[in-house]
Amino acid sequence: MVKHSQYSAFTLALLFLGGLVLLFILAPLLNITFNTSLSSITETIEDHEVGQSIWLTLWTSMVATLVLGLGSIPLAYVLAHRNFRLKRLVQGIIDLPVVIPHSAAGIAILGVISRDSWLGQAAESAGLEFVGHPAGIMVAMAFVSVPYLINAARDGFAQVPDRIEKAALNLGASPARVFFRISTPLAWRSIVSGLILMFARGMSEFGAVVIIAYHPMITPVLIYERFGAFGLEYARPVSVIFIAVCLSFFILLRMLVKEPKRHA
Amino acid sequence: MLNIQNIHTRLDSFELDIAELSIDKGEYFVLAGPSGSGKTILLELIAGIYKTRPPGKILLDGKDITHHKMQDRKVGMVFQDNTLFPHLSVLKNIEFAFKHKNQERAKIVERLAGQFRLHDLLARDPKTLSGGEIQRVVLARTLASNPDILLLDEPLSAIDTSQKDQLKILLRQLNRQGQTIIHVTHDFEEAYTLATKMGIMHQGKIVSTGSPQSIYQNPKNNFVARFCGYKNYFEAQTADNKKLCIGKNICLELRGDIAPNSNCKLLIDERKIEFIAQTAKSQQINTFDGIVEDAYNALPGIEYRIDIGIQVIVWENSGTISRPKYHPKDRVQIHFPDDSLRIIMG
Repeated sequence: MVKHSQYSAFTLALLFLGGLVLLFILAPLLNITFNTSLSSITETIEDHEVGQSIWLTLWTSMVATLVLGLGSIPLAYVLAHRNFRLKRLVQGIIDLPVVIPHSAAGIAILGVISRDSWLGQAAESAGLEFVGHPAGIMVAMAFVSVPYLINAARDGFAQVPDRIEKAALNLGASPARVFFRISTPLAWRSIVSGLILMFARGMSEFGAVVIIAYHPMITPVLIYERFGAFGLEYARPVSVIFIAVCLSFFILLRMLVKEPKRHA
Repeated sequence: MLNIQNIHTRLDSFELDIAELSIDKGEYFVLAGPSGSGKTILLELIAGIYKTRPPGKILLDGKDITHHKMQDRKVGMVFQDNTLFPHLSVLKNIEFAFKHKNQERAKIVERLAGQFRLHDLLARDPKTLSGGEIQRVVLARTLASNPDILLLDEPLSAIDTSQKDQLKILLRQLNRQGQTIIHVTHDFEEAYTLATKMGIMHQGKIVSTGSPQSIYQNPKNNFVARFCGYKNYFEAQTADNKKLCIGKNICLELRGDIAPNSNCKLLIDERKIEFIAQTAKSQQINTFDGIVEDAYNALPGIEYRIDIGIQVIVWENSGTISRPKYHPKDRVQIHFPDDSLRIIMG
């Protein structure tokens, strides 16, 4: 009996095209990693400015994610569960930061939080400054990354069977108790995935942040500055270190929300 | 106890139309009907999942609960789908029905675990339970919320026959203990074996209510008769006190007297209709020539659909014969013995 080949021409074509896309993503990352000397990396790790910049990037993105999460998760729940007039418009508004150029987003945000605006003045009188401060960096990061959290959480809530929530209400639970005890625990993987995406997207933001706060420098701005002032040789090690930090966080958080293996 | 009035609700192209329905305390009311007849929607209106429009009213113990929120109605519902909370253990699922953690809660959980044989399941993950176990846990959880009425939406549809019988015993016990139950099913036999009172639903309306016996003995119309399992139900008119006709062409002679010139319903028991051998043309009364339209297996025999001017279903015990004796387009002669005929006047 002739054994048929495991791979048809179509499967091979799919594998080839898929492989090309993977190569497209991996090639620059591998190139930058292998073209950066270990000594320049160790030297850069010891650079105080780089360390401070990475720490600033991590904590501002984390705080922006957690603060926006407080409002975004309930909003995602509403979008998944309620039908209301202008719902499509609301969903369109949420996706706006993804489609507009981020430098333009930075200009737009600056118009709202600069010292000339009433919000900027009100914040200043309360002792809070945005422009050139971590608070401004957080606003810029949150603006461009919040759609990732809302959309992921909304999809997660939408996957919770309506009947299960109705059953909980039928048992006498209040809507708040159903939200906290049933809907959110059942949608947690999507919510955490959304938080990771938002955090990662916030960390990597450059365009909007550079308009609001060139200083203090988050790492993407620092990489740009080193490239502009000293050239590729000096920008590379910072980039490699930052990519490694981002990947470590990304892998760690992904492992936390990994689906358990299902046994048949 | 539960009184439903003037419900006229439209959902997409479906319309639910209930003029009045009353269910007494302690009753086991089964709402039976085919899929899509509106049973589940009616149940969900009672539970508060859907809201009824004025002038519709739902009264529970005389109190108008039409506009009460679902969580304030004291109406416990067991949904057709599995609604166990998958992230909570069986015990946590049952405890969810309590607002406060106290000694009373522990006592009730213990009682329900005993009643529904759940002691071995309490620590289990709901995803590992069988269909029957799921229903027992859901029932216990719903009863833990101490509902005045228990609503059951097709509770036996997803479980195997042996577990079905056990669950029926539990449901009867619950009702005997005083629990008012409204149970929805598409299965007449299930309804008949559980109900103290029944309603038959068809196209958004309750077309017949009464005791299971009265509905079965006196089906109100063709739909109810078919739903009860009757194969041969006909609207008929008596011609004189010894004769009744179905339409113009099919007339039957009767031995007993009946009121002349009246409308009646005729049920012919398909199991008692006889085939007459073609070689011996019968001269008996109530014998008709017909053509076989279809022949198919119907446990534990074979069923024929025969056109004698009206369509009649005839069942034949096949015994050891596995193939039909007659085939489509065969000409046959059938006889309706006296004991195959049941006439319902009015």
